[in-house]
Amino acid sequence: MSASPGPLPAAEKLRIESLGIFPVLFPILGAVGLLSAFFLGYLTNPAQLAFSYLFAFAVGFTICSGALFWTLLHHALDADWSVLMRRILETVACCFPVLVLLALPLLFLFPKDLWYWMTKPIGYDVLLDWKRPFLNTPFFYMRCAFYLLFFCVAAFLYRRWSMQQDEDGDPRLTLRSRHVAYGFIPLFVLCFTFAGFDWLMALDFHWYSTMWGVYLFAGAAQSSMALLILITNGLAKTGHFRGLFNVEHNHIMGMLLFAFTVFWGYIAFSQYFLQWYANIPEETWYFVYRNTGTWAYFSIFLVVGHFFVPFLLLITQPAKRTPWRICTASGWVLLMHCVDLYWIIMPNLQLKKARAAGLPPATTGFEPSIIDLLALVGVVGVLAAAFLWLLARGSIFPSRDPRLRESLGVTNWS
Amino acid sequence: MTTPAPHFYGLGAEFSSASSLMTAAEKVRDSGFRKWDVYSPFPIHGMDAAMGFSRSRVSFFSLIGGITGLTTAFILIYYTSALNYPLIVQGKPYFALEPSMPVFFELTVLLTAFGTIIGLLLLTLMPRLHHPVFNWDRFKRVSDDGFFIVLEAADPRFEKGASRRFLEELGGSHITEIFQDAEPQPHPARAEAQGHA
Repeated sequence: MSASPGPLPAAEKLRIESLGIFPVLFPILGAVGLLSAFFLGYLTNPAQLAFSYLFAFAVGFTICSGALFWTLLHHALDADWSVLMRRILETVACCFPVLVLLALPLLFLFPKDLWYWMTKPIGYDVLLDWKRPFLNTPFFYMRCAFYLLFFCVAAFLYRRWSMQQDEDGDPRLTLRSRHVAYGFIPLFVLCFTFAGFDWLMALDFHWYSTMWGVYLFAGAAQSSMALLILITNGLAKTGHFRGLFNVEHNHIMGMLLFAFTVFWGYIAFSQYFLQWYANIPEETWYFVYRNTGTWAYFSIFLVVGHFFVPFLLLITQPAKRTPWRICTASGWVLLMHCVDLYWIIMPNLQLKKARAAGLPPATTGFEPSIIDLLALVGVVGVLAAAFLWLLARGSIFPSRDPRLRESLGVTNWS
Repeated sequence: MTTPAPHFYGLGAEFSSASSLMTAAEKVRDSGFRKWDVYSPFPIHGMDAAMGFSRSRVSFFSLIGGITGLTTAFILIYYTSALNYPLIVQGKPYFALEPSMPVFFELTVLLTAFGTIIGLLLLTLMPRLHHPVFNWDRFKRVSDDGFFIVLEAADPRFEKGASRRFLEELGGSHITEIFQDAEPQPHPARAEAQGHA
């Protein structure tokens, strides 16, 4: 029935000591991963390093921007159920300044390895010449600066307002957050879509897909929801949110994870389907190469693992309401999100190799490298360390949000 | 012409509010009644738990509908485009998964919806034009401000006197015996016509 009466819970700090080895492990993994990836990469294979690093960065970028999206959506829809977990989302999103630092090598050390349109003169390719008004180096850097600035400012503002409300309990901050969200959501969509165009789609400047932005967005929203589920359940397991976080919250998050699993499947299929039907060489090449040789197994694994497995793991109610089951599904979704980005980025490295060696593309295929793993561990480690550091600086939930009580008493009427 | 005695349907009681209806429903549930129902002007959150409902079986019908839809779609496409009238269009295969997917999806969804609706109607014994509770005058307020519980005589635990006292204990007022409809009387015009014959 109605929310339980009684005093609201007091602000709760993160108890670092209850997290075991993780607070020490993350910075170490981050430093070791990044340093060894750069060391190994520069010595053995700089191009591999560039692509591995882009892959790791893309994982961090999509998850952090997904968290920002959920924060904005929470405010825009005036949601109540998610108040309890909102601080986690705000904090994940607020890792963006760290992500900007991580973007520096990407944008200043590797661009010529990654985006080979930058290295080609005018007249090299007629399609590239058509795209020059957009794909030119100065404009590229201006856009990148704009995206990163927007994400940083938005993430920073939302966390700041929320933290400020912990201090003074001013309900006007909730209203301000909501009104600003209406303006930020279109900006978010534009920044995220064009960042996807610039960093991932432009890896192959011939190829284009108008569904690219929403495809990446589906993966981003899905994986950040999976991360939120893992973090909240992890914190609950270590004695945080005592008596506040319950099975109903897991149920709602599980429904959203399920919904975005289906959404990803829908978008991924639509993108493939339209290009299959239209049969335009510049478009189909993306899928033709990814269905060649060993990449074909990889593609099938992506479809099965990214859509069918979480679909079946999450479809029943008990699956969403049992912590270990929903956490298993979330971990799997995060893994498959990495696989998805790997599948997007890495074939371009193999194509690059084939071009350099003058071999037909079909002679190349899935070729894992230890640098992929090191870069991923490095970026994720650094971001996770930043997340814990930020989370420890305030209450782990917005303790004076006017809708906190509704969030605590949320129930799924089945 | 004699009218047969109307058949006893059950005992109805009126309650003053949604919350008293809910408390009463919990007690009826705990007493082990199986054939009974509550009636209110609006849906009451949590009433399913208060009445002790288990999980609905509608999803079984949905699944049957979905499987039927998927099978139908597959047969429809495969038979028409690969067997009955194979025609090359745009250099695409006669049958391919890609263009079939939307049809698979749509027919699955459509027949799942049909299955769900049919399952719902079957399980709730709907549609029906009349119900014995309509023979109770006070019951008309169920669409306005009335909250009711009706215990059916068909329940093995039902016993007229004890059940009346039980409803009183629960705080029910206007406890009334509800009867099934009498056998339908012939329309006056027809009765007259029969009289002439």
